[in-house]
Amino acid sequence: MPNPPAGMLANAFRDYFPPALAILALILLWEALARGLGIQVWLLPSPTAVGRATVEWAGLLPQHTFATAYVTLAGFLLSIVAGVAIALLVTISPFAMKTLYPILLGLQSLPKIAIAPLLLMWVGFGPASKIIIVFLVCFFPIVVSTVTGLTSPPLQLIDLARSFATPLWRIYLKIRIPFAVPYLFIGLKVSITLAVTGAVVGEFVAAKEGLGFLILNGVQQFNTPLAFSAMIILGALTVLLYGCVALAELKFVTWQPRSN
Amino acid sequence: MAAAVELTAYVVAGVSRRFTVEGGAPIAALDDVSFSVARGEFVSLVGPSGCGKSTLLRLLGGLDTPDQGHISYGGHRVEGPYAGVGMVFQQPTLLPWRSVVENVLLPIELMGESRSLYLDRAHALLDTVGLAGFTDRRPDELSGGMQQRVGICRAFIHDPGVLLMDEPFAALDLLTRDEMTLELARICQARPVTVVFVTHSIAEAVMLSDRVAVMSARPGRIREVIEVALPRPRGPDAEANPVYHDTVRRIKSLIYDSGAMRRNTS
Ligand SMILES: Nc1ncnc2c1ncn2[C@@H]1O[C@H](COP(=O)(O)OP(=O)(O)OP(=O)(O)O)[C@@H](O)[C@H]1O
Ligand SMILES: [Mg+2]
Repeated sequence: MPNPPAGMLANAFRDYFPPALAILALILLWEALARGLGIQVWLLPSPTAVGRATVEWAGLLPQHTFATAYVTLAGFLLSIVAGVAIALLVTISPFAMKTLYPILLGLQSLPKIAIAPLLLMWVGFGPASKIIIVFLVCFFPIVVSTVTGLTSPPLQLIDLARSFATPLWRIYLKIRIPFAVPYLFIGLKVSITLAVTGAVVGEFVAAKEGLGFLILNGVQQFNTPLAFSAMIILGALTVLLYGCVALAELKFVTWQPRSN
Repeated sequence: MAAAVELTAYVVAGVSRRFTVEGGAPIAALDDVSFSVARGEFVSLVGPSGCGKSTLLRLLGGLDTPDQGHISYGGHRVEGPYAGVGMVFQQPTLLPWRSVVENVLLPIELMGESRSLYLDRAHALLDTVGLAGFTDRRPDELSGGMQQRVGICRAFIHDPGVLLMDEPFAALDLLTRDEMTLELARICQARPVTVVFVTHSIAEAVMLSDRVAVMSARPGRIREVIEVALPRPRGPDAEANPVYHDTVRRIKSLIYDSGAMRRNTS
């Protein structure tokens, strides 16, 4: 429904003003408490202290942010490629569905984060170990949602397509894959938030850079304001990445499956 | 002999189909079914739920293979999907992300042919079912009856020699259903198409068919094939014809006698 711009502005104001106000109030309360109660800055830094740290470390923060963003995105993109490929394999081949899929679902129940120390041993300190962790946490939601989507077209529609002696690849291209796209995005939105968490956990275990590394180091060296600053950037990064996925969804998903 | 082959669309000879379900006795969906359909003929399959009507229709379309017996179409053994079949189901099964006209053109794309050659035809078909003003709409913007009309246009887009329809009007309200029945009769009158039509409505079957095959349940068999001697074209006034009532009564008594309705309630 096209709203007049004035109406849209009013709507935006109505939607965003209360939460913005609440956040501002919270920050002010935090600042007041931190100062009023005289809390040690290494225990709970005030917002101004966090701000100062951010400015002070401004030269270093981008490098660490990029490091975390890099492993997050690399792992996420790899998991999309592999997840979609496995989902296609499993739906095309009944044999793979019977053998591979149960194994995958079984592996899914393992705590993937727990593999981090092993990865350190296998692939070392570099970005590879973090990329693998991100990949592992993202992979399963993507496989499961894509398989659900690929098998969602009604059987009669597939019958109809088969009645024209349609080759399998074309049934996938014209029917199954378009049906799967909205489901894929459900998986992507779950995965992208998990991806950031996965990257940070990987950096906690062993890393030379990254926001997770900064947080851990900040805390260990009583530079708590820096840890807070890194945390806030991490939150912003998550929101940004999620926003990108949501934007892509708006562009590529032109219909929504009806909830049964 | 050649002439006989040309006049026959389907020959179904001693066809049986069993389904094995895990941890249960095999289900005989069809048992020794034999009948034939002439070219251009409209044959309905009626019978209780679960008597194998949909199974038979899938076999006719080459989507499934019989365990025993064989089916031929136009003198050729059916061993898989073949050209010139249009299918319509109870649910419209349209692609929700495509416009009405793009849905009608789907078979053309699936067959790997050029859409542009069929665009005029798609519009003409939609025009005949009163959807000329809706060609660019999405299916979810249409009523159930309109969606089913789109499905029928889709089935006709490649000018099929045979239409296989599985309860195409079952999900519609009664008024729309009556309207669609007349519409289908009119469309089929206008072109030489063979139709095998599955329905639960005896009235619908009699209204549309040259012959009605009455089936009995488990194992699914053809109990009797009844000729409908109503003159064509058949309009709404055909229901006033005594032949109509006689035929409906005969089919009803066949279905009730077989004990089919008792099974139907299980
Ligand atoms: N793929 C299948 N696997 C197992 N059993 C099946 C399968 N398809 C059909 N059947 C069984 O075969 C029998 C006939 O099914 P079918 O769908 O052909 O009946 P129908 O006459 O079309 O019924 P309805 O009027 O309810 O649509 C049923 O008992 C059904 O359970
Ligand atoms: Mg059926």
